[in-house]
Formats: sequence, structure tokens, C-alpha cells
Amino acid sequence: MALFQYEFLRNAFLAGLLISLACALVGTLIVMRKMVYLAGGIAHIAFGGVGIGIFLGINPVFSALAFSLLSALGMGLGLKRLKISEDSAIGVLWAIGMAIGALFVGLTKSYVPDLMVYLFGNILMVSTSDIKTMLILDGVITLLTLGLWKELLAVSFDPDFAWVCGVRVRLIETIFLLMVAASCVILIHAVGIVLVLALLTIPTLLSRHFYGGLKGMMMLSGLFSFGLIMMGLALSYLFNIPSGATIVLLSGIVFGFVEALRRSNFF
Amino acid sequence: MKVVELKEVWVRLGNQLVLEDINFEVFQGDYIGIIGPNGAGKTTLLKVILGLIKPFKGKVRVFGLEPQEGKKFIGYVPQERPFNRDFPLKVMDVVLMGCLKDKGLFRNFSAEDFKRAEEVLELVEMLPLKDREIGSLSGGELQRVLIARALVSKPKLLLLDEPTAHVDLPVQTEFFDLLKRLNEEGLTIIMVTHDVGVLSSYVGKIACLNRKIYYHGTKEIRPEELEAVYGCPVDLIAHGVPHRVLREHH
Repeated sequence: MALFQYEFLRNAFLAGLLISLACALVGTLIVMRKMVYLAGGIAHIAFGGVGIGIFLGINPVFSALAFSLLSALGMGLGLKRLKISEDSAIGVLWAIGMAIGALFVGLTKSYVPDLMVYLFGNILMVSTSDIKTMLILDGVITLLTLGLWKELLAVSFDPDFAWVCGVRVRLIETIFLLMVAASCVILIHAVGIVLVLALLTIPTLLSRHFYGGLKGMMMLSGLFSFGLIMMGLALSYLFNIPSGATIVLLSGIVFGFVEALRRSNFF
Repeated sequence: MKVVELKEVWVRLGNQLVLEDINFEVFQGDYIGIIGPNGAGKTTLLKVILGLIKPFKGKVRVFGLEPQEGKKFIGYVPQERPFNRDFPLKVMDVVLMGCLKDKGLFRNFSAEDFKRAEEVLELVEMLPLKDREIGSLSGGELQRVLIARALVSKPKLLLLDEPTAHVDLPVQTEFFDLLKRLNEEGLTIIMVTHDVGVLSSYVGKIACLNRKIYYHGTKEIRPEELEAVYGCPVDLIAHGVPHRVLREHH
């Protein structure tokens, strides 16, 4: 446990735990609801918030959170009313969010921090104040998941029927999108905006092979994401390579390996 | 007692007029089959009754209330396809969704809900499969689960949308027996189908729909109305069912 004397390693470990919780609760629902593209959109729009934060000289994590929560709110209230298809709308917002970020970074006259941290993550640079933010967001996500469990299931499975049963479908959907936005901000610390989708999907896809029920899948995908983050972190530390990219590539390799084993009827 | 009342209801979806001047009354204990070709607006009509689709003109009352309020008395069996079959839920989870009606947020299902869910699963003969994943069921099994889900809240009105679309013929007979039993116990039923063949001797009354509705509160439909609905003459005598839907010709 000598390693834990280093604050950055202790924080990386805690961040891994907090990220895994978000992956388990929200990632599983995103994958099973086939909303991966929408989650990608919300994550990338957050870059607009990062740019604005840098421009205004405030903590980019907070402005990214505000920006992605607002975009989630807008999507929840507006997406179904548009006359164009949902995936086109997400594509447009995705690009506009990134462009806003790039514009404000360009307008910043003072020192611009390394953008690679926000785009590709670095779990070794997670500060104690970041941990506190993540803890609060995870707490809210957990509370909402537990409290709205049956409504979330009903809306995911069959929104029309949920509506007939008196569930306020649009409200629940919007709350879920806000949970997705919060998860994206939590994940940015480890793998960055561009790579968020890997951790939201791969652990769930792996767990789907082993367990059928939703609760079991959530627990298992939490374990998988924690394992992958920690192993990726160790590898990146050993070989002195970027942690975000290592975590994602490791996840990809494990995923490919498991899929290959399944194809050959190994299990 | 009027269970459903539609007065001069007009519905537009996008730029298309889907329902035109619908006048339709359903009384307690009715068992109505609504027929019509694909795209006639049958599902839309059910969704108007449920309040899922709002007409741009006309009045809708369900048990004398606005659909928003009246829907709590309705059990709804949608067409099989729209929902997410890959979603990892067990049969029991799906049936319990029917119990959401009088549950506030942050409140879980009660022991009573579970008991009631088991009762309706027993009724549709699906209790032994209550822990099966929903994606692994056959079309007929899934249909029975959806009926259990609709019945678990003890509805007074049951709306069925193409209930036999994915079900084999022997299962259909069983299914209609069950509906008949429920109807005799006082449940009002409205069933929509594009397949005239399934209107076996069970259904009490028939309505024809193709944007406009033709309904006389009886089982008889005039041949010219049927032609108007389908755009061509239709033989309404189902094979293997010793019953005529049309009046006898002389």
C-alpha cells in the first residue's frame, strides 16, 4: 500500500471507482436502450463548455458540466418535437458543441492549458477537488437510479405503455439524459471527451455475455470497468504512455478477444 | 354506461389527415372488433382513446373523463413490435409495469402487486415462465405476457392492437376463449385488426374504419360500406368459422 502515499495515485484509484459506478448505472442503460450515439453527442458537446471555461478563466470541468446538462435538457425537451430525424439533430449538435469549444479556446488571449487532457483524459491528473465533484455527481446518479428504477425500466422498455400507466415519460427521459450528461463529465477525467463512449459501452457489452438480468449486468459491468481502468492505468504507468488511450485500447483488445472466443464457441 | 365517447373527432399526423369526423360510442360490456386495411388509422384511434394522440378537433371522453384521467381504467395491449425486445427484463418485470398506475416516485412494488401479477400470469398460463427473459419468448408467449401486463391493474376497458398478428392459429383460439371469458365477467373490449379472418364468432359488434368510421352498434356491416373501406368487394366469411359477419343474402 506504499503506492497510496502518492496523492495522485490515491486519487486515480478513487476516480477509477467513481467512474466505474457511473459506467455501471448509466452505461448499461445507454447500451441496452441503444442510445450510444446520443451519449456520444452529449459528451462532445461538453467540449463547448470546456472552451468557454478556459475563455472565462473558470474551472473547465464546471462549465463542461453546465454545458452538457443544458444540452441534455434541451434534447430531452426538444428532440422529439423536431421535424428532422433524431440522429441528424444529434450529429449537428455534436459538431456545433465542438466548434464552440474550439472558437472560445482560439479567442482566449491568456495561457491555454493542454487540451489533450480534456479530449483524451489523464486519470493521473485528477485533483482532490475533481474527486469531490465526481462524488457528488455519482451520488445524485445513484439516488436517481434507485428512486426512479421502475420508471426508468418502464420508459426504456415501452414508453407508450408507461405513459398509459401515468408515468411522466418526458420528465423521466429528460432526467435520464441529465444522468447521461453527468456521467460523461465524470468519465472525462479518465478517458476524455473523445474516448468516453468506450467506457460507456465495452464493460456492458462484456457483461451481457455473462449475465442476462439488468441488475447483474450493472454490477458486472462496474467490475469490468474498474478492472480495465486499473489495468490500463498500471500499463500506462509502466510504459509511460497516455493513460486514457491505454485504458480504451486495453478495453478494445479485451472486447475483441472475448468476441473471438465466443465466435469459436469457447463459452 | 358510456365507456368511450368520440364526437366529431379529427386527427392529423404530420400533414396527413388520419381520422375524419369520427363519431363512436362504446358501452359497458361491449366487445367490439374494428377492422380496416393497413394504414386506415386503427392504431391512431386507440391512441386517441388513450390520450397518446390529441385530435385537432372534436371531443373524446373515457368513462366520462378526459383521456388523461380516464386512461387509468384502461388496459392496453400494443402491437408487438414497437418496444425494445432486447431490453433485459424478465416476464415478471414486464407484468409488474402494469402496476405502475398508482405508484408514486421512489415507491416500490408491494407484495400485493406481486401476488396480483402472479394471478394474471396464471390466468394466461404463463406463471411457469415468470423468470424467463422477455427476449427469449415466442410470439404467442410474449402476447400472453402483454395481456397479463394489461390486466394486472384490473382495467374496466381493454384495448387490443392487432393481438393475433404474431400468434399461430391454435393459440388464437385459446386467446379468444380467454377474451370471451373476460368479456362475460364484465370487461369492455375494443380490438383492432386488419385481418378480417380473425373476427370469429366471439366478437359482439363490428366497426369498419378507413379514415372514416362505419359503426351501427351491431355485428352487421353493409356491403357497400365495406367496399368503401377496402376499396373493393370483400368476402367476410372466414374459413373454418361457421359464422357470417355479413347479413344473409337472398
